[in-house]
Amino acid sequence: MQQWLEFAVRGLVDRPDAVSVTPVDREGTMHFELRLHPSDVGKVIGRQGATIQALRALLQVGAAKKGLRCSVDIVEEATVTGSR
Amino acid sequence: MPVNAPALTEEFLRLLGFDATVVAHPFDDGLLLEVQCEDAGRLIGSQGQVLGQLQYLINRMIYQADPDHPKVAIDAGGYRTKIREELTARARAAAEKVRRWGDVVELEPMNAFERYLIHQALKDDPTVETHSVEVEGTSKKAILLRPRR
Repeated sequence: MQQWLEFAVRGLVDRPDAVSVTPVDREGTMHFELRLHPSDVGKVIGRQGATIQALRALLQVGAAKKGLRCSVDIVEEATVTGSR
Repeated sequence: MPVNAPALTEEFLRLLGFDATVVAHPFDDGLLLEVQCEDAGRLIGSQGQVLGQLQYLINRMIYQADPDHPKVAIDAGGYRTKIREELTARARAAAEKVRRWGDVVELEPMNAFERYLIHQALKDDPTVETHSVEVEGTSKKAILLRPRR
């Protein structure tokens, strides 16, 4: 599933080189941490979350077919903006 | 960068665990990608929801690779054809009701693709007109049919 996720996300962004997918086993669920170039985060979320929703839905379909449980979240690294 | 839409879709599905053959047909001004695989039901989902999301993602990927590429429609297991026939029949039946009783008929909430089919089925009907109205709590809209003045 990791390969599929990398393929799909790299096809959606301007900076495919900055895409990384880290699998984390969470009590039987394969959870994927998705890291992106900051300028691509909006693209992968999509209008009203449409893109990330579609990615999650297809991930479920592929996982169900293979008898797995999978989930994905976008991890945004904390950025220092200087003001709060 | 040119993009091979059927090959992209096949690779997408292969990595997802679906051994599929994707055949492209010309369709309206664009392309219909017909997915042939054993497990088409999983790719269609309840009320075609998964199929819609697959189509959305593939179109995003195609656009990212080549903004000039036409949009694609994706079908699996003949689902879109079946829905088209069903909805066209429902649209005609509702139009008949409007003609007979002169009342406004409201169809149940539908997604954009389904509404498009209903509007298309009735656009040349001189006796009824169709409007979509928002439905609270969903992204779907309901179509109202009323006598054309």
